[in-house]
Amino acid sequence: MAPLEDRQLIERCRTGDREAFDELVRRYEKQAYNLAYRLSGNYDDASDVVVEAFVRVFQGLHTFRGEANFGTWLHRVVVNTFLDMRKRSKGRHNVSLEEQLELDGDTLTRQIEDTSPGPEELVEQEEREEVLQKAIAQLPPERRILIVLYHFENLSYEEIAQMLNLPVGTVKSRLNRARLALREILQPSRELFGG
Amino acid sequence: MRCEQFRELISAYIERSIAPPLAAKMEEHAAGCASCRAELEDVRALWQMMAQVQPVKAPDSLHARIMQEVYARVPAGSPLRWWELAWRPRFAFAAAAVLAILALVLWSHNERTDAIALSVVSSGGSPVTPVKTRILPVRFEPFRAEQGDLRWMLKMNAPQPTVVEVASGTRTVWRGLVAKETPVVLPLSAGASVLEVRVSWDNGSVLRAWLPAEILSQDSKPVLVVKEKTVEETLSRIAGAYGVPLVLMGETDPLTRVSLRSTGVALDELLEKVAAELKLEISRAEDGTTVLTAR
Repeated sequence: MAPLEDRQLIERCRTGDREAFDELVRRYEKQAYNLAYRLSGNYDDASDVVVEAFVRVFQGLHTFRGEANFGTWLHRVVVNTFLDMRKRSKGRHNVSLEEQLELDGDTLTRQIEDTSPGPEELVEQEEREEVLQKAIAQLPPERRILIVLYHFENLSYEEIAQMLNLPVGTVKSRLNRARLALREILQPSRELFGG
Repeated sequence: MRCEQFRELISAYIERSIAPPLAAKMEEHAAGCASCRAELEDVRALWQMMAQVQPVKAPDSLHARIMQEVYARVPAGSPLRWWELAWRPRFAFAAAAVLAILALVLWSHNERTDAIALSVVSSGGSPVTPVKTRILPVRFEPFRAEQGDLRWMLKMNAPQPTVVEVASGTRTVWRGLVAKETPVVLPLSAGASVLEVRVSWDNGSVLRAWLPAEILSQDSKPVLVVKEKTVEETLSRIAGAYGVPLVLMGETDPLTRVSLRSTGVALDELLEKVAAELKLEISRAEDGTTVLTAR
């Protein structure tokens, strides 16, 4: 039997069909987790955000109106969940969410060497990604969301504008400023990025 | 060009979305400004770097954790309610028969008790004797506009997703899965003859119900055609996509004004979409009714 379309699965979920919801979660959990990870900046918070987001999805499926595809809607739910949880946990999880970069000293290098003794290039790539992720986590949430949606989730300016209810021009100009801010944060490790 | 302006345009320059003369000015500025040149190079490198980032692997336990949390926090479905019992095939005909009674009641509320006759038939086509019961899996709801025009909405209940097909004459006007309290606006257009509802169960049972032509014809009027689609067709499609029940009331002939009421959610958003799609002006009356008017 051909797999059900998202739309059909959602219809079933709305009737309380939990097998259908199980399947829907399987289809999107990895994507949602990656988004949550990029937004929250660490694995533990990413899991919390995704779990909470899917609970909200299940509770709110009746409000999903199908004008966007489910993936786009889920993006919005994950982003909102991230913002809500961040608000709630401000202070409590401040360190993990707003972790300061440790760009100097041996800390980073040692961590990478400990966990991933692969080829040098791979280590460099991992190191770059880790530094980048920590830099993104230092951006204010509004800028972080824009960077993540555009550069990691590959949404278009138009899709982001629709999701955040902003004019496209505003999204573009804010993204430009977010990139400049990210570059500023990464200045101390400029050599890693070949800039 | 000043550095500030250069910085504002860096992304657009990298994306090549600015006009060549402006790009030339930026290059001219960068040639003489080491700071801006470095910033441009850095942002470009950063951009490339972000494009190469690999997805992270979700923990193996994530799926189980999600489902566990959903199960723990969202209560399981409540026991079957009376209308759900009705949906079971052995209750079907009795349930279907109620349509006739209900339609009569609703019609009488609209002070038009003289002409209604809703026929309910089995799949073999034999009329079913109405049986008085509260069971109500499918019902029609008529709505009348101020000036007497009439539209119908169908409300259906099914404990499990059930394929339902609504036909006007030989034309299928709606087909989809019906779950609990699924409303469907019936997009009746000029020339509609018989409105027929076919409900199919997994075991092959079929329920059909229709509104006879003589009833429909009294209220069929030419409709505003937009982009070769009728207002009703478009609204029905959008309403279906949103899962929002709509009440359509045409007021003039041809139909240039549509009043909408909804019991669903996010009506404003829906209406704005409708208005934009149909190029209609949108206004709201004091009683909360939204009015779409052809420009």
